[in-house]
Amino acid sequence: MRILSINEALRLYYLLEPYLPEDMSVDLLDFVGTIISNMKEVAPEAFIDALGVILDKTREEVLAEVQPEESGILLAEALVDNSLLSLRDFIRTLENG
Amino acid sequence: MESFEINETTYTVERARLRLWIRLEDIQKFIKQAVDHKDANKLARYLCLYVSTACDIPVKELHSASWMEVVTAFTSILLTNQIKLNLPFMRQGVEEDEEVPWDYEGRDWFVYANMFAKEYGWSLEYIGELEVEDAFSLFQEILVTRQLDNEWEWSLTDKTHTYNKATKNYDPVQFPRPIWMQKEPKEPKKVKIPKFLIPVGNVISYKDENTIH
Repeated sequence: MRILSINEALRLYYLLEPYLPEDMSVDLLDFVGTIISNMKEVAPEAFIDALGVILDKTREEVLAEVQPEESGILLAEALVDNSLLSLRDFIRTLENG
Repeated sequence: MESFEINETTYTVERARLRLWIRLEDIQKFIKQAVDHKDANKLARYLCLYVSTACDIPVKELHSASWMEVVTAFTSILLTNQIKLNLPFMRQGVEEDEEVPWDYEGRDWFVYANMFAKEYGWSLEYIGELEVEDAFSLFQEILVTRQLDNEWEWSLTDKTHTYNKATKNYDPVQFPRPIWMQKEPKEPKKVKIPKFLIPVGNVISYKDENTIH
């Protein structure tokens, strides 16, 4: 999975932010798994938008081209490869000034 | 010296001089605002602007680099430019309502430039290339000198004393000093009271009074 630019990574982060797990001690795979299950249940649009960011496609293109069964794996791979935990730590550091 | 890579090119971070340092501080304020508003586009733009301004890298190149490279570059520049000074005038917090009507974006540089040019007759180029620590130490010295000059002028006026009707005496009136120039209040000295001065019987201290109902 490609590594995102700063613009894409931040857009992705803020799409996912409401669904980040509260528990900070979880490992990366659990962390990513929780985000995806949270999103699929309550925010399918945000899930599609997140796929759009990582694949650089519009919402319509994602719906037409991505198979539902592979969507979770695609997002999980992107989050792991793009080290979402590091991005979260960086933004939290900025938030705390 | 810190270094980082952007699109397979290595850049070295140098400590910013005064003018650039103030510019980076200004951009940092915009970064903080973007973070507070959770604005991904603005945050990305200001992070790239920060790195571009510090190391003279085209913004376009930063937008095409991986986010990890940009964040690493930003962190390296930030760490390199942290100042280790803790001067008294810096400890006085600036409250938000202290903003003045004549303030504008990027004014900080001109405040320092004006002070140094007026005090020492230096050119803008020379001031802009000052080491940040030197500039702040000098800035404080200018503030101290001005305050002491004002106090001296005050001492020559008739405002130094005010008549107190109650005591029928003149009370001294000091020229007000900023908080950072005032002596910090010290804890009162602990004095041992001789035994014969301590009251006899069951003494209830104020601490006990709070617990007795």
